[in-house]
Amino acid sequence: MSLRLRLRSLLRRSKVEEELNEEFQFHLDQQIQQYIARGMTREDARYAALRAIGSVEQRKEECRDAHGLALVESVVQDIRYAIRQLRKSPAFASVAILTLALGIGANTAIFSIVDAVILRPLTYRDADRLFVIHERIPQRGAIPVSATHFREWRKATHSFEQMALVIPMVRNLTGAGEPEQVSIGRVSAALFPILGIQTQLGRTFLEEEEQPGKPLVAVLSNDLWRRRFGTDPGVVGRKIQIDGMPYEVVGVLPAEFRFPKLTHLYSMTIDAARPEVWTPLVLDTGELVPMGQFNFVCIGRLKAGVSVQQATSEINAVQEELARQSPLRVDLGSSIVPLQDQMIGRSKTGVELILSAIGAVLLIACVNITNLLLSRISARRREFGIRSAIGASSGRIRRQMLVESLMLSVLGGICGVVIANGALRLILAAAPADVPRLDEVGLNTHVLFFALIISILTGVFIGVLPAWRFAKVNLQEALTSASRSTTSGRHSGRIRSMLVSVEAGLTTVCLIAAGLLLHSFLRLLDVDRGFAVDHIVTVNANLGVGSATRYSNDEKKTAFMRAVMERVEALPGVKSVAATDKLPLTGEGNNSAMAVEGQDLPLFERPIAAVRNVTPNYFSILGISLKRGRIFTEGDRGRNVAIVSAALAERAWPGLDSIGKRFRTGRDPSTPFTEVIGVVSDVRGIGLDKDPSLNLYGPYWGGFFNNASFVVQTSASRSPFHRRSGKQSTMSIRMLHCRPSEQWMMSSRILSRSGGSR
Amino acid sequence: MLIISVTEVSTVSKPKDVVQGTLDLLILKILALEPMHGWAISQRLKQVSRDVLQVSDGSLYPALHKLEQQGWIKAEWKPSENNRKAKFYELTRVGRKELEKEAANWSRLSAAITHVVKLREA
Repeated sequence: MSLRLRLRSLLRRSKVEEELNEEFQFHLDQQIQQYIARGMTREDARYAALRAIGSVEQRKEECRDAHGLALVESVVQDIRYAIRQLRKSPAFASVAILTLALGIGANTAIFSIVDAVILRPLTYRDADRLFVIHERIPQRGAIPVSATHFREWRKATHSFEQMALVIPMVRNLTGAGEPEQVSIGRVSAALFPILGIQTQLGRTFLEEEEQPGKPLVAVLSNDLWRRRFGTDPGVVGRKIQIDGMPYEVVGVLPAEFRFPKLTHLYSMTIDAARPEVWTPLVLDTGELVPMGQFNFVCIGRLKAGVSVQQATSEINAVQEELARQSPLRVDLGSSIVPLQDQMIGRSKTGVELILSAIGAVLLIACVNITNLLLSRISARRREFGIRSAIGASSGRIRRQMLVESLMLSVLGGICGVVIANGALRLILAAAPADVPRLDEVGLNTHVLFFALIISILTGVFIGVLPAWRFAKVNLQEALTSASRSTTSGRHSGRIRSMLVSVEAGLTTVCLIAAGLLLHSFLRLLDVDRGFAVDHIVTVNANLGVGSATRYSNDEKKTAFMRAVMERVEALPGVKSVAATDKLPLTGEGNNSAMAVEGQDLPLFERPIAAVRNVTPNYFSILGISLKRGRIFTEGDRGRNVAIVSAALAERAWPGLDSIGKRFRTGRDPSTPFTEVIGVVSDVRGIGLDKDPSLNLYGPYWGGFFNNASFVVQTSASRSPFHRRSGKQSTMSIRMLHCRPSEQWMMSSRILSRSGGSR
Repeated sequence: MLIISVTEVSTVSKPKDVVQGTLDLLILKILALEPMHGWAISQRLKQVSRDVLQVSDGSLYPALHKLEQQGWIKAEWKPSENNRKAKFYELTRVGRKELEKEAANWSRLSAAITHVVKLREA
């Protein structure tokens, strides 16, 4: 109430003045009329009325005082005085401001991350009705979705307005500029309407474009459009080459559309980036296996008013029916997770730990400054004594002190924002790439508002104790005592020691949080990866499915692989080269259930092997040791042989010698058996915080090297590769994607953090 | 009978709390009956105190503005008896409570003082 009036008299000054005039005029006119009624002349009545009220101007001034305008003026005075005080002691001022700036800056920087990553709702239409649907089996928990099951859900459930599938791919983009590997999202046409996204140019996909045999179309992300096509509006209607196949660009998405990195949408650790090119999901028969090909992310929009429980039980009913129809004995379920939870769930703990550590840092800074301010009180006793002697009330002096500390904290806050701006850039450059929505982080109005609030709170926090403490200063003594600085007394000593203990406590909080973060990081660095990374560079090459003419069959691919390896081996600084279709620490993928000869386990009870096709020297280069048997050689061509990791051997043939044992992958009983010829040591294939993967190594000539990774052992510490080597090579590798092992390790740290099946 | 003289001099400088508080009490009491504008309040003050309380018209307004600022009374511009717009003051809920409190205080205080005065006479 009073604040509203005060604001009104401050902001609508002329209106208030007008009303004041009118009120007094009304009174005068009434008085004049009364006097006239008593028989005075108009003139006399006017004078008498003015006399009766006294000095009108002075009365108005008193009214204005009552409005509290005087307060505003005296605060302005306080601020001026505070600035003078700070300028008088620049050393104190700069230390205090800098300390607070660091504290506030760090908090602002971290808050801007928390804000973007956790607090800010997703920018999709009615984002609270967007859910990610996983399938669930007791043996593995939440797993990705099978396209056949998805089709059944769409047919038989009514809880969702729409549902869509998404699956990532990495493909080569050629035509219009340098060839590059791009991340592609194959999506149901319903995805964009579900998210409520309209294109900036052109259109999104039509339902019928999901049917096989339709013309190939693509939608571009705004980033790619900007980067590769220079925001050319004429791009719609043009053809781009994806793995050598022509796709017509039908639309460009708006810049503000951010699709999550696909990694964050999977329940398992999957290495997948944010799509830059979108194509309609045309399912081929290989992807439509009942109870198989659990590869997809499913996003659905719940109908308004339908609860998650209702939707879950509806989908579970379909799942039960599917399980009943299947010859496989499996207990199929589902779980439905809000989209935002799915995205941020894994990063939350880390971010919260950092926030508490940084918050403790600010509190420590505050306590320090409070301590400084307290010690200044005794130095300024004389000044306060004089001020109160010439009429300043103790409340006024306390207010003065609060204004001073607010001054410090606001100046600290301003510097803090500058610091935060710099710090953010550093943090973003070093942050693990898997933190979702990192690219939405920035110093926006939210963050600046936060900085303002926290500055003001800081000011109050550091000022309250000194202002309260001031009451204990004996002013008379302060005035009469000749010396400027007297001893601060026992009482103030007690407060200081209390502050020191608070500080020690806060430091502990800070250390614990930092320690926890460091611990989980160190634990990952310390973990036995099972392979060597020193002097190793990995190079990703995508041969492309679509480049059918050039590498039409496995033979040609193999020949090509060999040619590449020979050339790379000839490069200066390269010791040797191996190849694999999937590197360790790159998440789940290429998994296959293993049917062991002589065992008849239901599909989901079988060991799930991570199949990796490798060159024979892969093991020695990565330091994976042979435990039993032998590594395959060129002489094994034409035979079905494989090497298993120790963990897989133990899982498939517990307690037995696995050499010579036979198994088959896939469900087709007519597939010939493959024989185990060797057992090698375990590696962490999925992530550092995951158990060693159950690896099944096949010879490279049996595999599909569409996405090959070369593992290059160098003698130099720097990579002999760079981006251009792909282009210069006479061989048409579309794109080489190199990363030194440190970077690989960094990204694997990331992968390892993104574990935890839901 | 106690005589309160709210003189001009005492209100121009910072008024003594007791005196100011007394004027506040009177204003609240008068407004408790019905909403009024400043002029009417001043007339009512003169009338009810039988001219014993000489409240200067000038000091009435700062007091009103202060009470409004405190949220004890609120103001509204309405047409007056002669159809001219005037600022009418009215008691708020907070003001009503405050009035009860002040009135009780006042009775206690005046009873005590009366008692003391009588003692001296005896």
